[in-house]
Amino acid sequence: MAFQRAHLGHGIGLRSKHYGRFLDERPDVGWIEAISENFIGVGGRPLAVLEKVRRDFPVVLHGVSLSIGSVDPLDRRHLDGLRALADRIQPAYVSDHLCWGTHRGRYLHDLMPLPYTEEALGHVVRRVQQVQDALQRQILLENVSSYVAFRGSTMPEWEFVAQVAERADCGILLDVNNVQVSARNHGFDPREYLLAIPPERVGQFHLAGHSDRGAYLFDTHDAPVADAVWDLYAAAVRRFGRVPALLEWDEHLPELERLVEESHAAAAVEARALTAREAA
Amino acid sequence: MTLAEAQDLFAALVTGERPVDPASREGLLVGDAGLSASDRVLIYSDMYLFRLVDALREDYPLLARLLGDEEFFSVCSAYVRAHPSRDPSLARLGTALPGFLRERAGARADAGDLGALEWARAEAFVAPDAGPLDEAALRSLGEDAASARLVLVPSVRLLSLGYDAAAVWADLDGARDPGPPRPGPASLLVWRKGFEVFHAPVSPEELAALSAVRRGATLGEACEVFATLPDPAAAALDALASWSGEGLIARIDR
Repeated sequence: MAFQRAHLGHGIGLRSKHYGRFLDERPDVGWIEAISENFIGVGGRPLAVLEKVRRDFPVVLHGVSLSIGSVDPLDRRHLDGLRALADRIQPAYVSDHLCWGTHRGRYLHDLMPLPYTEEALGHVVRRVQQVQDALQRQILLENVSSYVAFRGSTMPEWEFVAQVAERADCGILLDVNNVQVSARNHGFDPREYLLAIPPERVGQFHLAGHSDRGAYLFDTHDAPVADAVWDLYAAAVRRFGRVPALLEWDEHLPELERLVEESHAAAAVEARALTAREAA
Repeated sequence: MTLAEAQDLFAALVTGERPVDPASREGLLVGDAGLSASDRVLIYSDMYLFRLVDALREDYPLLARLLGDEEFFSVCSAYVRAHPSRDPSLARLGTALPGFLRERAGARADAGDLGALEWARAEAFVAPDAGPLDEAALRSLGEDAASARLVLVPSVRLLSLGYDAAAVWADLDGARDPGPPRPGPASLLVWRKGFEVFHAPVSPEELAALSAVRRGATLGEACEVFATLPDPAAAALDALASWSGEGLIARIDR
């Protein structure tokens, strides 16, 4: 049992504001992440852009609505759509979030944290296996930013994440910004989190900006990566090695050049951290 | 507490649609000196509504302009309570908003029709690709034309409205004041050609013929609606030429 890590370098997200640029140009990045739900069952310009991007780059399909931790049944129609999209695009990875987002048939369109219990662990592991069977491939699950903690939790988040990946035989999309945000919001040491994650399960990193709202950090994806997140990313590279990393930016989205620049900054941080790792 | 019970309770806290007593909330979640459990829940419940309304604003930019920020937020808040999202894509959330607006007391009378036009355009923009059929294929039908069944491209949307939504759309799109609602029946055709979405007024007869084609009628059956016009054959041929020229026909089933 293992997770096969791809070697993609540093990527950026495909956002509609930049569709025209992606049709005309090939930005200087290693790969592109597309939000799965934006491309399932659609045609027209969005699909044409994704297909052009796929001709130019490796693509990762990143979902937001799998709702792997919900007690609702898995949405088979959604899974069929995701399978069809993956068959068409042949992504390097298919990923989603370690959370729940549906309740009694309703999509909440948010990434709700789980209580970290044995019951939730068994439930998620079974469902990851069902999803991997349906898609005929391993998936990666991303740790989410959270603002609440459940009184019933019996293990820390990092143990839950590691256990899900090991027992369900899936990969981990380690969102470094989310670790930083949740560490501040729940008062844990983000480096302790990294140390508990099994290196062979980590297939990808996410990097993003957040907002400091005084009493808590808020995962906004609307700003450059914060210094503390760069430091944590360097620590992650020293622990996990060369891992494909994506620069996420959603709100107040700047021009494409700025995203490319930020992904190059990530590559520079990685290079320094790899040198330090080799020297150690 | 089971996982199902925890999710039931948390969903109630986030959506605010079922009262949760403070003791249950405190039993579910841990707070601390910096941020209480109730403050932490607020982060999610605020985000829930704002995210959904933002998504609707993206699909209905002109409706939002017509109603103004405050009214749009109020309408959309009521809408998402009445029509919870059933689709994994946030882009499908607004599917029932035009109908909701038509039934909502106090809303501007043509808001539902403008919404229907915006939604049809949004759907056409991302509709699956198909065709269009080569004009020569249509011409080659010859004597078989009456029994042929046309299949329209998936982007075609047919709107039968009670207000002149196209005029309001044009005013708002051009940053002009749309003035008061303009009542009167209006038949609109929405479609995509290449990557570009169009809408145009059509006669009620042409709209009825396209509806019949979509239902699977033969071309002969569909064109019966032109029988009441002074020159039915010319009207049918004009319509067919227009459908073909605009790329509305994906294929012919004989």
